[in-house]
Amino acid sequence: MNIYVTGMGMVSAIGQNTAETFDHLQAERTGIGPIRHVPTRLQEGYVAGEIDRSDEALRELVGHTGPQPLTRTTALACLAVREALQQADLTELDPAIRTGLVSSSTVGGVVRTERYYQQFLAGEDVPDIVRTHNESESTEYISRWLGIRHFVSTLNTACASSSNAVVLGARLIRQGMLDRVIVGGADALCRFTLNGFNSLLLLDPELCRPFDENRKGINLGEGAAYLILESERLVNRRSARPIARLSGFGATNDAYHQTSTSPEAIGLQTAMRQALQRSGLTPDAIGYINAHGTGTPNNDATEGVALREVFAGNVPAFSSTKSFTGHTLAAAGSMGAVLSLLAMQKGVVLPNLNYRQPIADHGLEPVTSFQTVRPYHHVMANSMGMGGVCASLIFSDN
Amino acid sequence: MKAYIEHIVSLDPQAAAQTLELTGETIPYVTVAEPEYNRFISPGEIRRMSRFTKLGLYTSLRCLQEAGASAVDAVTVGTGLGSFGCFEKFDQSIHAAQESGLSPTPFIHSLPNALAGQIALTLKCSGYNMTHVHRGFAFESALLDALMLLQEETDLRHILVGAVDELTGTYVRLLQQTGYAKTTSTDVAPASEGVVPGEGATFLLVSPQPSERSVACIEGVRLLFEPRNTDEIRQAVEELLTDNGLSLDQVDTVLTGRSGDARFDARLASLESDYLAGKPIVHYKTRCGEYQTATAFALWSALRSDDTTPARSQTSQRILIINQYQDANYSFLLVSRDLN
Repeated sequence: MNIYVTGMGMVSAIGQNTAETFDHLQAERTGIGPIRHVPTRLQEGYVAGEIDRSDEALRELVGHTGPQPLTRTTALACLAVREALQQADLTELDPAIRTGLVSSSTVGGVVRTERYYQQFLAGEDVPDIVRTHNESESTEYISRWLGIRHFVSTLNTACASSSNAVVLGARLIRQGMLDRVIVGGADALCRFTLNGFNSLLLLDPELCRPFDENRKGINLGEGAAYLILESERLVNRRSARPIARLSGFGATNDAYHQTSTSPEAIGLQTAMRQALQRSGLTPDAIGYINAHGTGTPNNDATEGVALREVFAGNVPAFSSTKSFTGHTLAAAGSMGAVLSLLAMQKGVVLPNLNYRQPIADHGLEPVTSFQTVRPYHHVMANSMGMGGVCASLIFSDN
Repeated sequence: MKAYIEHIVSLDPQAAAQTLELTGETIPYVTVAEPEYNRFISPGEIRRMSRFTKLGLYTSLRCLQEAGASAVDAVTVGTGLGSFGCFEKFDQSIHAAQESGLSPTPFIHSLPNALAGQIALTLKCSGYNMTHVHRGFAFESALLDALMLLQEETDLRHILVGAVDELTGTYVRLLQQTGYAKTTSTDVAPASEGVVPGEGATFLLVSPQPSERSVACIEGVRLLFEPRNTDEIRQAVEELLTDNGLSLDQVDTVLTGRSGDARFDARLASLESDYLAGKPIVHYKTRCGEYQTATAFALWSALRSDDTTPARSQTSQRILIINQYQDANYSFLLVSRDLN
């Protein structure tokens, strides 16, 4: 059973949709800048891939009448899902088609809880934060909006969350449980995660430099990215024009440390090998890799070693687009998928900003400028998360 | 899509509901008895880990030990809330230390997948590792995930599936203040507004083939989001039964997730008095309280051999669990003790 991507949508610091996103990539213009909307002391001295709109403005952009998205996470998710549906030519979901939603988030409603929690502790009356203090509030909002009832689920595997949502969605179709599934993730920037990564000493106060020898850490970001996956049967029946085929995936655990990767990122190696094996491709078929590339010393060293191992010294063009969007946590995996699909569609490879010098451990050089290349047919997107989670996705244009 | 439960462990809820004394108010809630962590977890780890992770790690390792297994091929965990305790701790420290010089430990453990990651680390399990966090679907989709995996990859022999949700005093207070928790009655039967909050940790070892150790066969799992009426719930049950070539007559006992909150229980109540009329019915939330992954407790209580619940007898071979969480997340789980 082949599984096709028939639509995709993305919102981040480099655009409200995939067209704006592509323009930013082409212009090599980062979306990372000052933090304006998160009430945090870290506004001073730190940068992030924040979407320069208030919660109110984002809600207006969503433009729903009736119940409004209660959290920034949900508003972002709605924007990306709406674009994905438009691309797939789905204005309304046919209730006769078994449709599911597998979403993911790490922040979820914490972005709302953190506004009121101290007030609650102080004994003040606060709005109902129980309802939104979970990672599935955005999933339920979207399901209600679109009338999805067959299968609704939310994952949280840290920074690999939405890659895993793609994997689970694909498996639900392969098992014949669903014909169509919306997959992806959303995360809003918030004080909790900014301070979390800062307490781990993983934030770079300046612009992040993925895969550079002198990289200092992460810039966090926010946004959402969703794909519409459909079974081959449904695609044929409704004569949909797919963007690509999800040809392979791998999901593993590095089982080495809660917050860092094993020296050779064994978990990621296995995930990439699983994905290649499922797709029936040899490593040399991959034309571009959207790497996890967070910009931390540990990630970029070990991820590079893993790439060198799996691709036997012949690593394809690769880059970390987190230098544009910041690290969008749960949304990072599906964002990587959307960005690599865009790249394959347009026959380009995407730049990795702020890179100067290869990392001594592996000596790999990412793509440093936006380039049109000889058309390629298979693209890979990787992610890794705390708790040792690793995932790899391969999309093919046939 | 069938799989066999080799073993299942759940932490016992305290017999009587605890109460949280507030200014003039008493809130009933149910907690699990704190296990002897040091049976499975080192003193250093006990100090470092969150209660959420410890509850889950202890239960998973005990499940494996009692099952006589030492390794698993994959881990799937469900939690509706994750570690609220760590959220509190880290948010407090952000506030108290004004966003500088914070300890990262509560942040790391505030991630729901810290538990599945810790299990992978402890068991050196580099296979599939998933954490489902969808409120009242978290355990069910973790279980479904495992069942699918056993179908897809025929070389897998054991998958650990678990569910953990913890209560903290402040969370109970928050539930009470926002109108989700009862303030007086601890009884589910006379329905009023609010639930008796609960918590739990349950782990099961599933495998694709029955063995002499197997305790039950999972025959099917279904989810339904926000049914529009009771009829749709009945339909979902019928579809689950039909999928297995069964009718309601062949179900011996039904466990339903009545929470005691009249706002959320109406559909299940009408299902019980109509479609399920005459069936032995067990309300498990009277024992474990209400929490997102209570279905896992229901499964354990249906299968434990020393259960003296009147509804359970030698003839209770096939059990249907119908859970609801806040009238939004409905799930259906069909289990048989007949392994053939």
